[in-house]
Amino acid sequence: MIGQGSQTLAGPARRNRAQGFRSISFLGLLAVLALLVALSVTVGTRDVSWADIVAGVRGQTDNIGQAAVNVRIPRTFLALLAGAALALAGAVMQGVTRNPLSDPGILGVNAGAALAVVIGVAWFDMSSSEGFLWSAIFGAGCATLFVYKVGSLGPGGATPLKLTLAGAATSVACASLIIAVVLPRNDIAGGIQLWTVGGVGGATFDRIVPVLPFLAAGFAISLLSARKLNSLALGDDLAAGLGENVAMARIVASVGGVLLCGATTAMCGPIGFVGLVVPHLCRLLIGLDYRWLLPFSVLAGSCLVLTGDIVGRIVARPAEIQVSIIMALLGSPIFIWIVRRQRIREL
Amino acid sequence: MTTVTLPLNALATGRRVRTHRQRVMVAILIALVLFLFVLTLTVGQTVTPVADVIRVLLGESVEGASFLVGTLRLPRALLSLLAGFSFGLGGVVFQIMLRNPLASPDIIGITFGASAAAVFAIVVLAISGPMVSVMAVVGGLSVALIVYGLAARNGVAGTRLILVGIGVAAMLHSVIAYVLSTAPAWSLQEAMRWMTGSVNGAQLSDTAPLVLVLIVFGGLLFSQHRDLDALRLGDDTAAALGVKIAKTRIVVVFAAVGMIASVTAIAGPIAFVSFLSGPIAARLVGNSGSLLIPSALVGAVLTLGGDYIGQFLLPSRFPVGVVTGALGAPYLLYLIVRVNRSGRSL
Amino acid sequence: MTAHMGHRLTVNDLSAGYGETDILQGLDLDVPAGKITVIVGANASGKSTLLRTMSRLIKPSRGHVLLDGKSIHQEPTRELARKIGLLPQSPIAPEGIPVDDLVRRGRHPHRSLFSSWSARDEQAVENALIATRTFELADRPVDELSGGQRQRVWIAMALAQDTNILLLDEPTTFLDINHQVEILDLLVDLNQSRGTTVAMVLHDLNLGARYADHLIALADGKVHVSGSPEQVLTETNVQAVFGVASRILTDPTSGRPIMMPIGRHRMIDQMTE
Repeated sequence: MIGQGSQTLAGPARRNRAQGFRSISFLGLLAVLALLVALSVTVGTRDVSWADIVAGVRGQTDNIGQAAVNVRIPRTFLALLAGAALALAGAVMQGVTRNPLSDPGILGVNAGAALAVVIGVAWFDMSSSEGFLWSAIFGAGCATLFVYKVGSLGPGGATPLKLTLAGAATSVACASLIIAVVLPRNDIAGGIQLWTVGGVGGATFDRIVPVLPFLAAGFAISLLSARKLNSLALGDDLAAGLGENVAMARIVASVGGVLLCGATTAMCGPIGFVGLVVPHLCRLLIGLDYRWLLPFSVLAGSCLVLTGDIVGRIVARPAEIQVSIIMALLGSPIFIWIVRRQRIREL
Repeated sequence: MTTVTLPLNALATGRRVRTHRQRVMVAILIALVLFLFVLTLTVGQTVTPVADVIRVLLGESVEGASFLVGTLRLPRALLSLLAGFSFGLGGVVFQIMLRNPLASPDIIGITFGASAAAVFAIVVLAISGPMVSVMAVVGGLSVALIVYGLAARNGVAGTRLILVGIGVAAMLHSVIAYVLSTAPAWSLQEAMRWMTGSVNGAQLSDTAPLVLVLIVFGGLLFSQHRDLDALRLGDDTAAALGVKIAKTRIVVVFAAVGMIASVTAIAGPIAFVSFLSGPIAARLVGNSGSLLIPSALVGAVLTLGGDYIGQFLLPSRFPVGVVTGALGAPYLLYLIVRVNRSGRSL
Repeated sequence: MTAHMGHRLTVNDLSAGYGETDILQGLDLDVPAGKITVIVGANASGKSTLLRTMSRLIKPSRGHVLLDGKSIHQEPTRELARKIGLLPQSPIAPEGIPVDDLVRRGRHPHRSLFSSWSARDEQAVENALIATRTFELADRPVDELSGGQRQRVWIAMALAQDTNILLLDEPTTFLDINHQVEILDLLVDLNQSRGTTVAMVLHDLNLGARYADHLIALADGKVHVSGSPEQVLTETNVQAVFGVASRILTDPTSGRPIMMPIGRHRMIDQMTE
């Protein structure tokens, strides 16, 4: 619904209240995030004493406990980045497609990135993080274009059902092809199989740093397209009537989303559902305005993936559950909830 | 009322042309299934003469052929055949009942439900044999109930059921992936079997119960074929034509899921066979007659052919599910493109 | 043509609806045998719910739908399907199905699992195709036909069912006016030649009055008034049922009443100001 609050006297006052609520929520989320970061460094499959934790954070690796803590730092950082990037990408894609079910995982973008990486490793002996990065971004871009093209054929444009199906089909196609590419190569099969179940374990700063410029660009482009997404939310015709260059707005925002997805998938493999769940929860909290929704999604996404990773480390001790599995377990019920809530006629 | 004299046999003639085409197509499909079956028995890395194959099948012991045909190829061919029949038949009845090609058990998560239950039974509970099949059937039926229950809201809307099913399938997929990852002793091959389906290492003792399952549940489904035909005209029309919709639904879901889950427990969720068989059969025989038998045959062609291709015609060996998956995914996309173009709602 | 005894369809103190809420609230009515009955009413007045309950697509929460004095919800489904036919609002034709095959589906209640196609089945299909003037279309796929032709094919399917009572839920929606008239004329043909009892929901009040022998106006889940079009279509009734002031004129062609809403603008005295 589009509020026309300014016509009533209560309008400005109500808006101020909402503003205040948002600011407080934002600070609250920041606090939660800080707490989770602290937890993520201190909690793991191995119990470590406080002294060792402090020493580990300072960079000492004198005993196993300190070393474990030391490994948790890049891991936490990666979870933070991945969550923020995926959630932001999801919010942007939901805006670009006006599809409440959009998510880099559901729309097949992650799968496209994964396929490109797997082909690079299997056929071109790729091993550098630059190689991973470029092929993932390339794959994500191709998949996005393809799914959007297929999903928007025919009258009615890109309806949620059409896009979701096109995305699901593309994901399955990519998954089949990944298996077909990997199966004959026993030498790389194990590693790749591990990678295709996305997770943030085993992160090192060496692998994260080269990706940072891409992520930075993705964050910047996505966050700056908030106003465009607000216009697009009114429908293409109305957005054009309001003076927005619809095609351009879509392309710019999509580039931001693709950069974020591709870069994240290159680092931690495909992780789904973050981009679906986070923007929806944020919408419940702060409403439809993308200027608020996007930054909130960044924070909440980090919180969610960090939580998922922490939970994955402790529920199955001494083993770990990859964060992508936790996200799927958590995300699909929410996906179903959204589907049930929607008026299906238009879906 | 107009009383023009009409060539009254015109109706019958037109109908004869159509049924003729259907019969020819079914005959061709049967021939194709037989051909692929015999091919699987005779031609592998080495060629076994048909005469030797027949002697092995008759129980004679033939040097060099008994092991190859009797122990390796025959169970494999039989399992492919039965799996194809079951997936094809089980898939098409779902598609007919819900009037949507996308509502096949492998897309709405039912097959994955059976698969997840089987993997759980084997890896976590460490059981084997018929109990695994029972678990798979229970898993498949529960998922069917859950998807149906979650999609029901002022009546079951087809699109909502499909979207809910996709969500459930995604969840089950990650459950399977997790359970498999906790069992490091499993080879990639074996993991693949539970992710995409394979008839590797089929055993004759596995196939006997499947024959029974196919006869019982297949017969049950076939007894509903007229009601299913009426259901294609919409629930309201079918009810007006005297179909007890709730009863038909229960029978169909029970029989189809039972059949699919039993096969999945042995061969894994062979990717997309249930989804592909119905639409391909409809393409071949036209949409007017009953699709049950044609799609069972198409299913068998897909599994037998897919397995043969995966074994011998590609640079390296692939399980059948990878081949059918690689065929099915583009077809799914094609279907979406075609439906989107023509502007019909899915 | 098959001769039927006229079955009598009556509704007794009927309450029904979807889920918890009842849309129909204690409704009584009679569908006169061998006549054309048209049900009208505002949106959400329960027209479709009534028709769907009368064809036992919805189970009543209270009261009965009686066929010759027996509750239809107690009769075997197949048995009933030989007596009452229904054309729902949006039936679905399988992609590419030829007209002939679709009409043949109408024989469903007359066939059992192993019975083969009989001469009687054939005759019924032929009669239905001829009566609806769709015989020439028999080999064409249903999805290639025009809206009016398609609706005639669906009526043919319902006719092949060979029932004495035919219920139709808004058979003229989405059709151009020429096809609307064509379909309604066809229903009168059937009513006259076969003696079929026709009961249908129509959205257009004037077309309803034009074609009905018996008009039923629903308001708030109850029968507000029923009777001949002249009795039902009065200025007070229209005000009560549709909430609009109107004027009732007489159609010079049929002599039936027609309703013109009054509204607030474009009146002659305003125009001459």
